[in-house]
Amino acid sequence: MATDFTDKPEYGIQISLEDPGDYLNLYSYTYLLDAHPVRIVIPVVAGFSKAVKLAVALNFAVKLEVRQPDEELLKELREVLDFYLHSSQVRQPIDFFHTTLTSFLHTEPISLWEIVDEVPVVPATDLECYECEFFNQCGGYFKWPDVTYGCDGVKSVFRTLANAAQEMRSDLATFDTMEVHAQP
Amino acid sequence: MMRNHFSIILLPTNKCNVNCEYCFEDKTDDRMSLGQLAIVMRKVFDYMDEASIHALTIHWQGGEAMMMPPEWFERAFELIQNAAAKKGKFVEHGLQSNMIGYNSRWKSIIERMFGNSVGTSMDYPNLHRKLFNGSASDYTRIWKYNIQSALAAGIAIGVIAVPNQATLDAGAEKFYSYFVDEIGVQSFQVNTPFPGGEGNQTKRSLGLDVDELGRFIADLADVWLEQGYNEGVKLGPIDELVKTFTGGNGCLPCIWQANCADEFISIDARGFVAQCDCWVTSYPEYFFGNIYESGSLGRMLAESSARRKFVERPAAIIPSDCIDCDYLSMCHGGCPVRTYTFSGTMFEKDPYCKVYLAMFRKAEEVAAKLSQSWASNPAERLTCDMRNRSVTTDDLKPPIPVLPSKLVQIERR
Repeated sequence: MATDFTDKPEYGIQISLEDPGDYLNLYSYTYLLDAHPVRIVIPVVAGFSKAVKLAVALNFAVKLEVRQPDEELLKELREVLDFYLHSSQVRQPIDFFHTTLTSFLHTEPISLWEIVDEVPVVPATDLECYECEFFNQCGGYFKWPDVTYGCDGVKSVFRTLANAAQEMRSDLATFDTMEVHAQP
Repeated sequence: MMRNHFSIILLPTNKCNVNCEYCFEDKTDDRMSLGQLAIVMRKVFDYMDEASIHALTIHWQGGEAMMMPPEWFERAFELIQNAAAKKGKFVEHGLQSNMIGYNSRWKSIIERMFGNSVGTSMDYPNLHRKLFNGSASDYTRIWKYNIQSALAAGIAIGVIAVPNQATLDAGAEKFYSYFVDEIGVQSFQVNTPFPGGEGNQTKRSLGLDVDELGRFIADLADVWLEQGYNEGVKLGPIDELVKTFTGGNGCLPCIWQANCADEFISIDARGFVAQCDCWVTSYPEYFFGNIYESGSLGRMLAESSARRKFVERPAAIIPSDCIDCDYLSMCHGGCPVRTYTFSGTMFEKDPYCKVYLAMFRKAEEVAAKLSQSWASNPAERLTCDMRNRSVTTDDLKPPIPVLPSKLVQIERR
């Protein structure tokens, strides 16, 4: 790395890990965390979960670059989702999970196109997207580039996030009630 | 590349006033002169300039630090603070001493230089800490007298305890009671033993059954939670693990840093530089160089083949085992010197892995209990944590956004 941003703490830094198999390189970037928020961009390809795990262990935020995952990749994606939702080791956001969860929690539409900073490709009107319960969070992202891609797998990811948001809402409501009761 | 904070474990003397059987140091009579200290500090500050590092912590150890007179520390403190001020650096100091040489002459410098706080060591029961001309019980008697004198003088004492088989046989309740009730300290931590330095009979018997040791520490955590947590007693590293698991920024010990090579170095009285006090006193083949002779500390660290081994350790051990561990973020494969002294290589995970797992699981369990308790009574968290000075009201505010708007892309190496 040639450029030094140590005197510019207002800069967030994004590091692209083009090959997730190179995840051990992340150790050499931990010093950046002293002065900056740092996010690691990890492509969702076979074995990416190890890179996510180490990035999170080193306290980096993560952004997943996902396209149209096959069944094997969906399995790994669901494992990472479970890790994000339930592991006490996760102290930084893993996107797109985190922003999508927030979107469900606050019922504010934020599509995957916005999360991945890409120009949206509007899905054709005859696609199933407009009937899909997750259109507000997906925006047809998983129908591109192959419009025939079967969405059942990614829908299960969205459903898990929606259920988690619902659980959080219930927990927060319970907590609010308890706080009211705790008032003198 | 180091962090924006740097630490040195500084040994102003390699000489010691006691004769502990399990000590990992090969001690010498060397003492650092104030002139040599000035050279060290100049090179350290130059290095910090090169690496854009603003803050430095100096952990003073030995040998035995109190083999240097308090007047030496008075002058050293002045020398360092003046040099730091000229360079625009912030320096803080910590002192680790066996306290056998403590007397009231130390009170002033401990207050001014070390924030009125000293770290010391004692085991329960004490089997291996001995005087040159005296038994372990003589050592314990003098230590206890000096500690209680220091406590009476208002000095905060933190104790590192290394368990032995008799510790495990005595049990957690007695161990806790010895330090908190009998000695009167409010802060102590458990370190795992390792056979560093030249071998002897005691060192060969230091290894403990890791399952039994794990159970002992879990029991100790229960005793602490029941008797000490609400009273502000600190039990390291369990208390900091609990803080981490409850969402705070726990300060975990050096053995669990992502890589200790990024965090600190040690410099001894002869000027040798190595990873930590264990390496600099006992393993010349792992010296990074000599700071008195080297033109640049930064170049020494960058070019040292010995330091390279520490930098490369995670790559050697994480993929084969630790990457699948639920607690990777807490440990990163553990301590290089513990691994090296038991296994003859640092390229394996720490042999106390099972003990650490037991600690992490226990701390997570304690954190869950506390979180449940705080959920039913949010005010309780503030009350307890303010007493323990671990969490402030700021910790209860929503987290700040992860990334600000200005974003810099870094290419893959």
